[in-house]
Amino acid sequence: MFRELPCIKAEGESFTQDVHPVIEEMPLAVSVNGRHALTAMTSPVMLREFVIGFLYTERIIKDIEEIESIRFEENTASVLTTNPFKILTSQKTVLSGCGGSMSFLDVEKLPEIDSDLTIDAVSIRESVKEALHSELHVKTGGIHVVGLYGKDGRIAVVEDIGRHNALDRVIGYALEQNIDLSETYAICSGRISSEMVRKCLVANIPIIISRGATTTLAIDIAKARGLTIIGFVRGKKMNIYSGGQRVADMSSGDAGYLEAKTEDGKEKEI
Amino acid sequence: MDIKNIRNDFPLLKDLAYMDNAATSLSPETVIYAMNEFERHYRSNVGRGVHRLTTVSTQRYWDAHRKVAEFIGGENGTTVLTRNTTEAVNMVACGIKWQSGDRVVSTLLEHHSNFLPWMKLGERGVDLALIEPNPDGSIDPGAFESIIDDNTRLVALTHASNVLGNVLSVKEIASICQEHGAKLLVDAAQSVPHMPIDVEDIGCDYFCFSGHKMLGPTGTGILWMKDADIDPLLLGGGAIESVSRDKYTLAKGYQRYEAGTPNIAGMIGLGYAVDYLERQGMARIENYEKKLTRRLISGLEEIEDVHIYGPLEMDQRIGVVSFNMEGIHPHEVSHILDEASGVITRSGEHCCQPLMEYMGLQNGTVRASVYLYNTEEEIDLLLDTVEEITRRL
Repeated sequence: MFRELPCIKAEGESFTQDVHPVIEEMPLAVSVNGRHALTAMTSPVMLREFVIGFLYTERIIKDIEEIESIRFEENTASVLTTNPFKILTSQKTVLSGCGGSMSFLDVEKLPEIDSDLTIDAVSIRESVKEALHSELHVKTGGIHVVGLYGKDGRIAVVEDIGRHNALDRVIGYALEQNIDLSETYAICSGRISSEMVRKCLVANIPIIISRGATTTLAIDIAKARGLTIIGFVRGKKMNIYSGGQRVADMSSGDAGYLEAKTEDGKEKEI
Repeated sequence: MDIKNIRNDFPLLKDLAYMDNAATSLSPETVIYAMNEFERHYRSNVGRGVHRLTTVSTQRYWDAHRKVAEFIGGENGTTVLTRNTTEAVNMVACGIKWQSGDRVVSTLLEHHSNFLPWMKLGERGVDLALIEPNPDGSIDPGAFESIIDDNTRLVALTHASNVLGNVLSVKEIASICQEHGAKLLVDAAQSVPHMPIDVEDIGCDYFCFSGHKMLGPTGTGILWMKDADIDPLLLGGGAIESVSRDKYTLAKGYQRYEAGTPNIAGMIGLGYAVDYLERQGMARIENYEKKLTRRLISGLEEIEDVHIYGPLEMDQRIGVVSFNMEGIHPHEVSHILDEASGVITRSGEHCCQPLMEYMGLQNGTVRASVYLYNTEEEIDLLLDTVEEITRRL
């Protein structure tokens, strides 16, 4: 995941020759049925899980069973689906994009979360603390962490140079392990962007939690499709932005406050 | 096993009791579909092209190799597509750098395809030593112990006899070979289709079998090698890493042994055949076939004037059953079985003339060989017809 590389360390007026652990990054060209789908910049681990998660959250596949095989050769991953000719004969460029997300956001086309999962504030704090403790991050300062947790705790925690990749990777892992994602929640080290929200919606992960911030667009989409966003989980504090009914020890009044809308259906300006 | 559903996958079985599986098996619809799909939707060559069709065919072709390798527990070796077992054996016979005085040890049980390539090496000063089996086909591993000498480069023997149906203790023989520094080639044409196989557990060096006997297409066979240590039989396109005016570097992996455009549809079909067998489960197939074989043998035992060759017990045998009827040529028996009842069997010497000669079976035998799609009713039909023939005599 990292290599010790030479660097000059400067402090005040002095410059010292030294080495520093630097996080590894590799390009991975993914093709589906012989057509280029994306080139991702990623960490060189769990590539199979990453590819599966990516195909799933981009809705190129609806089910892991649709993957016939994935062949890795150096920096390429060739995916064959069980019916490769649907995409082969398509005139439309189904697949394009570089460096990650390629689906534009159309809330109407995103699925609604379907889950009865609830968690309490204590579990949130403890799992965030556990998941985001990354020695690699301490060492290199350049890694994102995404953890997938369920009622019984940790399912998988992965690291990547990009948090979108990391989320795809845990989703791919869960699909391979046949884990019911509606019973899980995702914890990430970085900002909860609309793209993170979109991936959770497609995968039907009902709750996403971060130590960091979120965005207005992420909250809009989450509210429209029933996802719970919790940010700034630090010490005893946390901010719940949407889907408050899934936080077990929160009052229904508080949950309702988050869902309140103006009469024309728009968000209430506060 | 859901035999009714299985039979639906093999339309040919509707009218026939097909029991010539030791010669070639039938292919299920999934295999036929996969081959048609290749022809109709993505026919293209495999290898280094980049267009969309070749990408799909190359991956399917490559996947088929992987599936076959996993099927026999041979992921750590090299799995090469050949035309059949015969070609696989010949590739080894031609690919070893023999020296005059080398010895090959084999047995009198062997199919011509695992016999002639070794005999032919006599022209190069290689001595062929043959072990004679017991009347039921069995060979005591001790016999190998006493015949393998320091000059023995290779032992070539069948895993299961295509005439007598007995299974040899290849694992035990493999360790004898290892002690003497001899390589072991196993002709697994009759075993791979009918029982769970783990080549690493066996400990052999070369493992040869046919795709068409395991529900795959005709024109497919496999040479599996523990180490890719033989010279390729053919050189040409696809087998090299690089070529200049005066030298070449061979490709890695199976590619170096597959010069020229291979049987792409066939190999892809074979991959689907492996999928089919794995879905049924090889242990279950083996058990089911033992049940059928037990019924067949005990039925034949009860009919007067029928002689059965090979072991009568089930523990060390496959569902290949050879028999003769007193006073009637095996071809005639086989012909009547087909004409009268639609029971398809094989008759003659089964490509084992030295064995037939050794056993004093001038005209060979009638051979019934079962597979996962045969039924007890079909066995009874064969038995009834044989009985009918005895009454007519």
